[in-house]
This record gives sequence, structure tokens and C-alpha cells, in this order.
Amino acid sequence: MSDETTALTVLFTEFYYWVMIVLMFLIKVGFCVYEVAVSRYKNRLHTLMQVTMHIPLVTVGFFFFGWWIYFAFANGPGITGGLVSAPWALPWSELMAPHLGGPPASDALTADDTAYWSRLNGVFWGAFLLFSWTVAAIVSSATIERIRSNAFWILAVLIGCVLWIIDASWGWHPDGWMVQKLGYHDAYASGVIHAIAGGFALGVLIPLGQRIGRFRPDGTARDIPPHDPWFATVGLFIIFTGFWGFYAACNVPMIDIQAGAGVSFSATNIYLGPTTLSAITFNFLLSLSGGFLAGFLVSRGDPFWTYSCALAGVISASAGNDLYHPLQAMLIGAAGATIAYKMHYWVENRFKIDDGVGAVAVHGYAGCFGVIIAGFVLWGYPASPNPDYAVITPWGQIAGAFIMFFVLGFLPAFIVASLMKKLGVLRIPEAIEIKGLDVGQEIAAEQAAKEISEAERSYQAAN
Amino acid sequence: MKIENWTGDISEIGAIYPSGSESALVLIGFILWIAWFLIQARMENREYEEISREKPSEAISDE
Repeated sequence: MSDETTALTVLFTEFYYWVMIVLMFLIKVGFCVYEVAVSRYKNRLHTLMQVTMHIPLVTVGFFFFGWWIYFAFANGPGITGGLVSAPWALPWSELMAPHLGGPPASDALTADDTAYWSRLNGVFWGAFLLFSWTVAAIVSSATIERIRSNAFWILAVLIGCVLWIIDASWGWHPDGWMVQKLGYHDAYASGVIHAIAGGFALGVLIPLGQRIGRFRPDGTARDIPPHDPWFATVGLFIIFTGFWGFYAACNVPMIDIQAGAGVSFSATNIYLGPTTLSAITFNFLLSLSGGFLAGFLVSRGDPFWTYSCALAGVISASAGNDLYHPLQAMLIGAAGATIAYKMHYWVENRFKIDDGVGAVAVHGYAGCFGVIIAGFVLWGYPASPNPDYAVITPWGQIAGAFIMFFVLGFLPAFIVASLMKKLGVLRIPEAIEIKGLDVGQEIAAEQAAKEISEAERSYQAAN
Repeated sequence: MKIENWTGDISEIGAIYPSGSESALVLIGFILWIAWFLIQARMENREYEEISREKPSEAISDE
């Protein structure tokens, strides 16, 4: 990087994503607090491990193949072309490790490519990895208190390292086939992260079944209250904080966006279309507010659902939050939150689905609504700066929501979870569910306490 | 390959880790990653079997 402007741009971009990764870590902190608080006391330690251990497992899988999929699958493959070469993302590439640029890292890369990826590969990989953790954590929260840890972690790798990154390659990559052919626009991931996670969670919940006692003999649902409602909302507040990093990580901070002659530097959305950090600040806060206000009214001031609806509000507006007016974002957030709340209880009562935290509604239904409503509000807008690609339309967005929620989310999850059920490896034994998943640790702790008391008494007697 | 000093033309430096064994490291890492799942599955099954055999009175009830 001998040129000062290039060096400044690349090093600023590297630092920017690094900071966003740190901020997004708060999403995981929030999920840990939230899921442990929502679970019953007898399951809290197991729940903590369930939501913690997918972090290293997804990280390693994402290093091996997830990152490569993002670049390689942009054409389908087989829809707008074949597999795309991405030598910098192969796990054995020198560029997937500490590197200073230097000569071309392989025959398929130029010196400029090598200089660029040597600085940015790690931070781009890290930002996408944090999205992977988020997708997996959403599924975790829906399935708490009865899924086997091993089954959940395999499912977490399936969505975190394969399925969501395929949808990102199709609908988030600037040259993804959905962007090219459908005009799919989903700037802050209503569909790319939330709809797929909600659809996947629903696909697991059906074969997984309800927790024991969740429904009365007449079919109506019993509430299983959080063991710590205050910390459940604190967890959601921490997730909101991490969401700032999530939003900013969906942008490119500084790039020349002027087509043809001339230079004009700006932040862009993930499709390299111009936007600003001010735009997402306005729209994030107004959509959050719309969700909060609607959630309070529809849930009659229930703290858990008021916070969850605030999240649903942001998720509903995320597809178009690079381009909406802030008050459009607020209204869309309020509508999405209301739909999520109503749909959650309708599906629960109609189909007896036991979603531990309403994740399918908050992420899946609100995410689908967000993708579809963007097709109406932004109808005719360019989905990407490439003038040859399709523009945003309602039908392109409806097709996109279907692909995200059903094709890449619900369907593979239902197939794999049903197979696991058939093999008897999906759900914990009934006896464990009734005793509580932490019973092993509780018994060990009681025995240890008893033993140390006896040792103290023996010591006193001897002295 | 490894770095012996930082003198000379910095722009000619590429990998700064001890390079040359990337493919072997990927293979070893992948095998260990799969093995972790298998070992954990066995541990989890054994734990559930042991707890299921405990007397009901030893269960810890919800608080």
C-alpha cells in the first residue's frame, strides 16, 4: 500500500470492521443473559452451555467452509453461472492467516488482490461469523429446555456455516443471483438473517415437540414464565446495543461510489449502493420506537413482549432501513411488531407449537414482513448500483421472503430434525426433562458440599 | 517459511506466520472438529443414562 489514500481507506475499513465485531459480541452476551433468564431454574446451566458452545463450533466450521461459500455460491451455482473462484477464502490460503500483502498469494490472485485481502479478509470473515452466531442463537432460544445439546450444535453448524451463508451469497452479495434477477433488497437482513432463522427454528420445533406440560388437556397453552424476567429484558437490551454493530457492519464505511469519471467517497450498504451512517441511525431508532410503542399496547405492557416487539420492529424495517424515511421505518416497525405478536399466539394455539421465546415470530414472521413491505415502499428503486440488475418489486421481495423462510430455513431444518428424531438423537429423555437438565451438576454440587462439611467436622473433632 | 528480520523491503513480505503446513493444519483441524462432536455425543448419552438411573428422590425440583 504505497499510495496514501488507498492505505488510509483500507486501514480505516479494517479498523471499522474490527470495532463492529467487538460491538456485535454484545449480541452474544445478550443472548446468553436472555436465554438463561428465560429458562427455568432447573435448566439454566445447561441452557448457558447450549448457547455458548455453538460459538466455537460455528467459528471453526465457518473458517473451514462458510466463508468460501459466501463468494463461491453467488451464481447459485447453476442459475446465473457456475461456482465463483474465491482463492482468498479457502481455509488453506495464506490469506486466511496473518499476512502483509507482498507478492501475489497464488496464481489466481494479483498483487492488488493480495494486498487488499491481506488486510480485510480477517475482519470481513469475523463480521460475517458474528452474523452466523446470531442466526444460530436465534434457533437456540426457540428450542430451549428439551433439545439435546449435540443435536442443537449440529443444527447450529448447518444454519450458521451453510444455509444462512448460501442465502447471503444469493441475496446479500452485490452480484448474488437474487439481487441480479429478482431485484432482492435486504440491506440490514430482515430476510437474510432473521427470516431464515425463524423458518429454520419452526422446522426444528415441529419434530422436536412441546415441553412437557406446555399445553392443557383442552389444548390451550400454559405459560412457562422466565425464572428471571428482569434479566430476560436486560438480555434483550444488550442485544439492542449489539445491534448497532450489526447495522454498521452491514455497511461499507468508505468507498468511491462515483460511476464513470470523478471521485465521490461515501458509506454504502452491502450492495455498494450509497447510504450514510446517519440514515441508519435515524431509522434504527425510529423502527425500534415503533416496535416498542406497538408492543406495549398489544401485549398490554408485558415487559418481555414489549422488548421482543421492539426487536421485531427493527427487524421489520431492516430490509429497507438504508432508504426509508424515519417515520416510514417507525410505522413499519409498529406494524411488524403487531403482526409478530398476533401471529405468535395464533400459531401457538392453532398448531400447538412451543416456541420458548417467540423467536419464530420475532425473527421469522417480522423478517418476512420486512422483506415484503420493502418491495412495496421501495418499488422501482435500484436494488444495487449495477444498472443491468433488476429493480426492487413486491414480487421479487415476496419470492425472496419465500426463499429465505421456507426454502433455506424451514425445509432443510424440518428434514434434518425429523431424521434426528427418527434416530432418537433430537430430544432429551423424558426423565431428564422432568428432573431438569442441570440435575447432574446439582447432585454433584450437593455431594461436594456434603463432603467438605464432613471434612470440616472431622478436622474440628481431631483438633 | 518464517520471518527472520523486518529489514529490507516490507512490501515484499507476505505471510508472517510460519508457513508451509496450511493443508496439513486444515486436515488436522477438521478431523479434531468432527471428533469433538462424536466425543461430546457419547458423553451426553452416558450422562443422560446415568441420571435416568438415579432415584426420583435425588432429583432437584424447580425452585
